[in-house]
Amino acid sequence: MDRDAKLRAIAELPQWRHRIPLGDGVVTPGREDVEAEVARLALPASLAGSRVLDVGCSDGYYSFECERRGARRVLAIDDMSSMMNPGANGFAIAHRVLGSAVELREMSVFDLDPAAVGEFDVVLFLNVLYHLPHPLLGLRKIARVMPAGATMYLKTYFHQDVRWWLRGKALGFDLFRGRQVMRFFEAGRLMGDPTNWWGPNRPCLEGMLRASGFPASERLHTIGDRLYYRCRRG
Amino acid sequence: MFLGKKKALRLLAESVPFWFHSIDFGRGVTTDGRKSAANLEAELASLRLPPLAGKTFLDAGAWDGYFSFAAERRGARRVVALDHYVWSMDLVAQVEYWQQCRAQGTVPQPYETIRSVWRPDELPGKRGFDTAREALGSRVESRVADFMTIDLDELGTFDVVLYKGVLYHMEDPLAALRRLARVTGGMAVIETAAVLLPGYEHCAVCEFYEADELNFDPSNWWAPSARALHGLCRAAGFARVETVFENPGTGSPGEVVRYRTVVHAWK
Repeated sequence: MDRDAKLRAIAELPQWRHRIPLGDGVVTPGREDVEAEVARLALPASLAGSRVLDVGCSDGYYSFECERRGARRVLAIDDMSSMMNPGANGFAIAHRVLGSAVELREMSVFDLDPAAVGEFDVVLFLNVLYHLPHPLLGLRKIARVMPAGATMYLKTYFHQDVRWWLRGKALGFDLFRGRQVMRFFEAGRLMGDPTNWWGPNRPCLEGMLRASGFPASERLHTIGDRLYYRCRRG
Repeated sequence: MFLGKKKALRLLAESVPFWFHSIDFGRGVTTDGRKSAANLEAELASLRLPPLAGKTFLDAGAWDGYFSFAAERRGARRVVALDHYVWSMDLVAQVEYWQQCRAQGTVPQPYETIRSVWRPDELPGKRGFDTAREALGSRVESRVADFMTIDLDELGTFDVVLYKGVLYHMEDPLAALRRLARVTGGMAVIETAAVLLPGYEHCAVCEFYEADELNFDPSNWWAPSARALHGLCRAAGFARVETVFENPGTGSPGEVVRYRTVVHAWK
């Protein structure tokens, strides 16, 4: 596929979330700084031999990147509830242009079943948790498709009792120190997005991880209203 | 004859090794429940049940059936008492295990994993309900089923559904309330543990109990604030929600005050 054909292909989608390098200097016009995200998550340079599950893959950058890093199998799932292009994302376009072998399934995290999808050594669970109406169930469903010792990379919105934004930086703290609480967002009350449901505070998130089969989780970063973790399946 | 009947009722009451509810069998015989008769009477009043004459009534989480029998007494046309969790337990063994854990200062494991406690094939925890039903000559139907997995189409809908003391035991409260809305034809009466965050009354939050932080009971998961409970009910498919009972104490900002509440939720 030549450069012009690639440019025509990426123009098929009104809005891209991910910036995906497609070769010939063509990059999809996404707003998410995906390379910085991968660096924050400290994703291993080589994923040779790994089986990877990308939950809520959206345009698929992270799936394609894991494939590039040598993953033996990559399964990308999404329920297509994205607010950007309802019912569509750029995955199929990028997949075609890249000639990728990543498998895509339109499915919900709640339908994950090891008998149907297999097991995974690495799971990417990025910016999805707070979109789930049943977050603890979602974590348990993911834990069920991971063998002991497997790794989940988690990024999520989190709640703080008080939070100010100053020039794009968040300054926040918990009034209810040490208490595990999760904020409920009814119909569109978080960032106007009706697919946002719950915002756990940090202790609650860590408690939910322990309760769902992740005894050891290492917090990698706190950036703005997002937490980054590397979680080991127990 | 009179003494014979009284003695028979007393023997029935004493044949059950663990009663949660104190149930009046008549003739001066009341079961020796963990919850006193006076306490249950106050709880029944706090539910503010609507008139039940001719109505269908589901008691999801019935235990010994005190509230099911009350609904029958108030004229409900059909009453179904549904439970499985406490019915599956040997409650004497459960109390022993719990006391052992408390003495050792350890967190009780989920009761489903304790072999001496969890006996769903024998349903030792249902003996109280069955015995009370017999003593009262009741026609309340029982269903042994997990409300989170039972086929709801088969269960059908009920004019009034009581969901008392169950919500905070659910791992996923919104999922539970969505199922509740599906079986509710008219209104649901929801009684639950709740939390008040002084200074943060406007926030819809749930407190998470990873282990046994709430009442030293490992089967407790989430307690909603009043705002969260109302919002969750609406998101689950109820059109209108009203708090009919709450007894929060007071506290300072930064504290979490735990209390009990009752809401009515209409379809």
